[in-house]
Parts: sequence; C-alpha cells; structure tokens
Amino acid sequence: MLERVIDQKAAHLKASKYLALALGVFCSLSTATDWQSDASQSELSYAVSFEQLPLNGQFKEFSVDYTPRQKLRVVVDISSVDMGNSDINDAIRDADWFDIKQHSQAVFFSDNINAVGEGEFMAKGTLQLKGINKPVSVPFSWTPSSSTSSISIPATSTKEPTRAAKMSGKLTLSRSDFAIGSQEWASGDQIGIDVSVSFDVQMLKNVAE
Amino acid sequence: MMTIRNTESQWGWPSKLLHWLTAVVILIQIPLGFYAEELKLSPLKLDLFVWHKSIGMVILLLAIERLLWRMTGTIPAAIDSSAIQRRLAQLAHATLYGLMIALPISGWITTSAANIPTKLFWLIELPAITGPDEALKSLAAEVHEICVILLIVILVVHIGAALRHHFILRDSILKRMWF
Repeated sequence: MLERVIDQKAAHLKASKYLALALGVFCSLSTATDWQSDASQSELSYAVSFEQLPLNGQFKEFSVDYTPRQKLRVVVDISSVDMGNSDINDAIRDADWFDIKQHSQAVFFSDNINAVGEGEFMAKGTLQLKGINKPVSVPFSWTPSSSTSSISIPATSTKEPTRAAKMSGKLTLSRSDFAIGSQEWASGDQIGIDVSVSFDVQMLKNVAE
Repeated sequence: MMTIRNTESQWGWPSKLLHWLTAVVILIQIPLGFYAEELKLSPLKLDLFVWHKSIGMVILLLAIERLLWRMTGTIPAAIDSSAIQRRLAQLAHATLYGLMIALPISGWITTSAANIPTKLFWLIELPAITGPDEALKSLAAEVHEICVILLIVILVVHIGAALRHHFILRDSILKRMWF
C-alpha cells in the first residue's frame, strides 16, 4: 500500500518533470525562430523541362521558420506536390521519382545566413530530399512590409511594428543529385535534369511575446 | 497529262499528292496512337506522343489544305453509279474530312486540358487551346477514341470500295487518283 503511494508520487514527479522539460523545449523552440510562413499566402513552385518545354509544379504544403541572419528551416510535405495532371501526379509519387511512401518530407536547414546586398541574403545549408543530404545555397530577398492587411493595427498605436515580410527567391537544383527521376529517366532527354525552384513566402512575426 | 487543278474527268497532281500523303500519315498515326496509349509511362511513351501530336497537326493542315483546294476548284464527276451509291460516297468522304479535323482538334484539346506542353517535332510550340481541366480532358479523350474507331470503319469502307471499283468493277476510280 505504502509502496504504491510512493510509486504514484514518483510517477507524478516524473510526469511533471517531463512536462517541464517539454515546456522548456517548446519555449526554446518558439523563441528559436521568430518568423513563420503564412501558408495561405505562400508559394513554393518549380519548373522542369518536359519534352523541351517548361512544365510547372508546386508543393501546396510547406512551412518556413526563420530567425533573421541566424536560422532558416524549411519543411516541405512532398506528398502535396501538384503538377496539374493526374497521370503525372500519380507517376511522380512512385519510387523512380519522389518515392513518397519512403520520403514524404524534404527539409532545408541553414544556420549560416549572410547578407549579400540590400535586403538580399544567402542561406548556406543542407537540403534533405528523398533521404539524400546535399549542401545547398538558397538566395533570398527579404522585404518587410510595414503592416499587413490581415492584422489591423489600432490607430492609437504609437509605433507600427513590422509584422509581415516577403521572402522570395529562386535557385536551380539538379534532380539527379537527389535520385529523382532515376533509371530510364536519368538521361534528362524527356524530363530535364535542372529544376528551377521559386518561392514567394509571406512571413509573419511570431506575436506571442 | 498532269494538271494542277482538278478537272471534270481527272484529279490534278496536288490533289493526288495530298491524298496519298494523307493516306501514309494516317496509316502511321493510327497504330502509333494505340501503341503509345497502351505503353506504361516511360521516356519512349513521351517521345511517341510528341510524334503522334506532330503527325496529327500535319493531318489537320493537310485536311484544311485539301478542303480549301476542293472548295476553290472542282472535283472530277462521279463515275456511272446509282444515285444512292453516289450519296453514300459523298457521305463517306464528308465523314472522312470531318474526322480528319475532329481527331486532331480533340487530341489538341486533350493535351491542353491535361496541361501537357507540346513542341511539334521538338521544333514548334503548340499553344494550349484550353486551360487545365480534368473533366474536359476525359471528355475530349473519349471523343478522340470514338472518332478513331469511326475513322477505322470508314477507312475500311473507303479502301474496300476503291479496291472493289478497281478489281471487280474494273472502272477508272482508283486509276484516276493514281499518278
């Protein structure tokens, strides 16, 4: 009986310890990045040549977390890919292409971000795509907007905080670096090897403080 | 003697040339389309469809050119046959022209609605005539398929009739389309 009470107490203590730990992790995460993407106003698209003409695709689900000049983390739900054609959408989910069953997520992480011009930055980091890690440099522009239409700022406010910014950029990736379109597609004759990736992301400042 | 324009008794050489050119490309195009459709997605399938679409546009241009040539000139008179035979022949020829236009157009709509970019012969970009639309794509593909089956039936009749005229009736109908 006594033993059981002690056990319960110990379990309770243990649980609260985990809770505190979890809270701590949560807090450090939430302060780790202070800007987050607004999914409804963001776009991540790409173009690849298809029998010598560009064919566009996009990832409908992705998120960007950013701490200016410190950390950039992009998580892409690969299974949200859409190329505007049901046959192609089915095909690119197969093992030769994105292999969605095995690799449903792509992650880009950088903690090496440098200004390269007025409002222009370069994030050097690692892209994990289809389970393959490669160093990738992502150039982007960062354009703060003084206010957003979605957040109304009271007229009495003495200073208008910057709460929204546009993060845009374009880079070229080689699909063969990530074994996307392997086997018979590897030559690039029908579907090009170079993939032009563009992003136009609405970033919102975390207003938890 | 070869004439340019068609006359009351014979076809001019442009009509003959365009007729046989159409015959050759259609006889390549039909099996090509069925074969490419059956293939599983592969680089070969994509390449064969580029050929199929390219040849299809050639057929469309040939059909338009031939129709204009007919309408601005004349065609040889029908040979001795019953009125009903002449009506049937007219109907068959009108259907052939209709299909030579409907097939490329329905294919063009299919590829446009399917959001597939097309560069004819890897040279000329074919503009999309509709935006991406899954329902329209299925409908146009269905029309395309019905049209090709109809085309095969009419071609069997067309070729069969020409052979019958030449080998059984022994009249000049095939000869006057020959060079």
